[in-house]
Amino acid sequence: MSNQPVSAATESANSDPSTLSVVLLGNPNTGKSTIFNVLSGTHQKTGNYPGVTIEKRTGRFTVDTQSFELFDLPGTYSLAPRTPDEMLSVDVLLGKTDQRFPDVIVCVLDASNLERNLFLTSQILELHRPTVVALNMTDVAQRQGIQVNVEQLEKILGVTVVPVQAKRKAGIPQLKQAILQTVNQFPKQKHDPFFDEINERIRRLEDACPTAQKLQRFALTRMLFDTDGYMIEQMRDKVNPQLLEALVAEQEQLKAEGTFAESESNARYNWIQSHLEKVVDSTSSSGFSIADRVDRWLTNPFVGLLIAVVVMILLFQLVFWAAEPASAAIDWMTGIATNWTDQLFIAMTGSADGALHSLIVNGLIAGVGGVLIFLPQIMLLFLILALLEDSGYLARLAFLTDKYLSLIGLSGITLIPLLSSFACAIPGIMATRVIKNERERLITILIAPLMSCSARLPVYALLIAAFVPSTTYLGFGLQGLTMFAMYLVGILVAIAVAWVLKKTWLKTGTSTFVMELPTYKVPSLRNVWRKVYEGGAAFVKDAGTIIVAATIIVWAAAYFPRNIEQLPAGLIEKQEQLSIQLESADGDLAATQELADQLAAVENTISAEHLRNSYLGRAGQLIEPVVKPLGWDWRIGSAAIASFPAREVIVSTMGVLFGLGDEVDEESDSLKDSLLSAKIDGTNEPLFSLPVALSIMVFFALCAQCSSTLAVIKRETNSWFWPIFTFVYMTLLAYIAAFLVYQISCWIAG
Amino acid sequence: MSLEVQEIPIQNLKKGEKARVTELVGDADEVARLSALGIRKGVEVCSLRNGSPCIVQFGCSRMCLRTAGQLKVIVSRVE
Repeated sequence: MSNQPVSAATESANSDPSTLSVVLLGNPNTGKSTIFNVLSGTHQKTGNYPGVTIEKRTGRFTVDTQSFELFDLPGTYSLAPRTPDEMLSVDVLLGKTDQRFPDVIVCVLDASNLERNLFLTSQILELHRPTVVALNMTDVAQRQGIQVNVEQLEKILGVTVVPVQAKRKAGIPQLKQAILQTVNQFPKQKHDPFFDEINERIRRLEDACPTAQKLQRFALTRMLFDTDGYMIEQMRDKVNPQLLEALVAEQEQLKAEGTFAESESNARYNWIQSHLEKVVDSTSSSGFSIADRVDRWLTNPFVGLLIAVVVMILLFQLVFWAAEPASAAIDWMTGIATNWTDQLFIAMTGSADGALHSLIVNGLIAGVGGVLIFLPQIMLLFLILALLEDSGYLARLAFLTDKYLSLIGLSGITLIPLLSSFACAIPGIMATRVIKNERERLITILIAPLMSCSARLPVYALLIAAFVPSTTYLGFGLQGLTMFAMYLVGILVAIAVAWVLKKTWLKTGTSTFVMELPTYKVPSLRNVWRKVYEGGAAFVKDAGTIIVAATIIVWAAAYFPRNIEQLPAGLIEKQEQLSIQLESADGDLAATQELADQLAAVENTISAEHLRNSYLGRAGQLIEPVVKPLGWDWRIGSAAIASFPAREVIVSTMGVLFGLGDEVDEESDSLKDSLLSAKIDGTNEPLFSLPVALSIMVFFALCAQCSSTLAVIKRETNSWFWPIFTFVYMTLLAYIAAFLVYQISCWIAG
Repeated sequence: MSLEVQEIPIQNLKKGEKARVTELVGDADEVARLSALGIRKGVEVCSLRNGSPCIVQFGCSRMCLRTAGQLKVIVSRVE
């Protein structure tokens, strides 16, 4: 058996020779992520594999004095490879990605479903590399009456098997020790699950390789059973014409015998079954458990769907009210920060005024603080999605919706990337790589940004809290229902877009839908927390970088040039006059209050005039005719345009615009109050109304305001056309829908 | 003793019925994918929900399945 990597890499050529590499591989739903989290603790990072967008999760851990770098590969049932995910796993195992073999392979098995899990193990063992098997979920297996004879399993596989219960951290120290012991320890025997006839075919392929370019048996096996030419194409530079000819000949023979597609699985499953009796002792009854009874209702096409809708509505209600106290606390803190800044400025300069003060208070605190208020809601959203996924309910939702998704050219499998997009379209779009059908995948990518992501949440939450009455109907709050409706708008438009694409441009038949229904599980707190933490951290990072930058730019554009000469005549004089009068006012409270009110009104007019004359104000007034039919003024229009790079910028931009305008209540730190009191320029009429709020929300629900998403679409489709197409169609739809919503709701409101 | 009856597509099994997979028909790639998951000739399945998609149990696995195009999973009922 040759130990050389498939490419011209040197074996285990570590960049840091003291750190060894470990890859984690296993079927989906085997608790692989839990093992990864338990092994690497907080020492984790995510990135991308070079040249592909597949997320690279790496972690670090140390055993005794030896440090290891852990790579988490995507969950897969087979190394066939039929999707980019599976190809990546093959590349890593063959040492192609990092120009080195992994030092140790950890294969995670679900003890309660050994038969299917051993299929992948059998493929991995063919590599004949240092391997450890982590037999996870032994507790679940025991509850189901399944006992696994670990010693016997070790003997059959020829590698160390460590029983673990990752959720309880049981067996983890032993797994770490086993990894250390397995470095440079190759399996005790060569793995051979094939009949003589297949072995003979593989031997003929080995003979067809030139001596100088010997390929591993694993690579040859993968190419022999390559049903769609993917593997051969990927390895074209390693395949000489002689080998290619031999491959085609062997495949043709298998096809003629009618066994091409099933030879590999028949051989491997036969091998598994011939050993399984010695390894597994099952006393499980075939009776239905409580979970089965629950599942019968949850997968019922009518009752299940009804339950799903109610669950979704309740979850959105929860997002709305559960985060309220935490949001209020952040709001309170931004108020304190403003006060402290004022006091600091008064102590240092004698007045809380000037450009720097405005930048800090109106720009940074109002802008970034206004966005951070929504952190609790965003974390709650990530929590809900993580719980849905980890509990196994997401797979039921995929089953229930497949029938409907297949009508628009998609399948139940696309529900998972689409639901992920409710947190963020970027991982959602990246998750489409599990979709095998290219057109189905492209449609999913194109509609994923229509799912209301967490960055839209601040816009909805702000406007709903300000303009939708907090009444309840049949126990459901109107505010929560409006929030649900906003999510529904995105979903309905996505359905329509997918249907049109399927019927016109991306004509596609329905594709096969196969998906495992995992058993219901109590979600792992560690996994759930990690997802919530990563979602929240990414949002805070955004707030600290792109939002700060955008806020400063918008603040500067809205603050400068601040020419006093451009103010209407007499305003400054009136302000000075009122200030003097107020200072010299005697004890008459009513008169003093009257003077203070007059002064505030004049100061507000000055602020509003400065804003109107600012660079942003002038630009905004230019575009006002375009946004007027949506019920917006130039300030809302400017805020919407400023948020094209990242939609959450709208909140900070409005914080800046309506904070600089500070029209009525200077005491209030809340953006909500600023919006409620904002007036149409030159009138005393409120700028915002329910139709205006709905129009803004619908615009944000549908518009492609996220440069990162467009960049990911470019990378995933390898074309500039699709991100441009997405941007154009979404922006046009957003404009039309906002126009219709505003006009119709104005008409209804009379 | 099992009594073999006529061969039908897997989604036509009634809820609770058991059957044995007799044939996988269709594109080699799709057939290979299903058989790697364990839905292969000779395997006994139990229908938990019929229709398209259906839910079938085999061994310790539970799968949703909706075949499309040329792909067919043919089964024969067993008692």
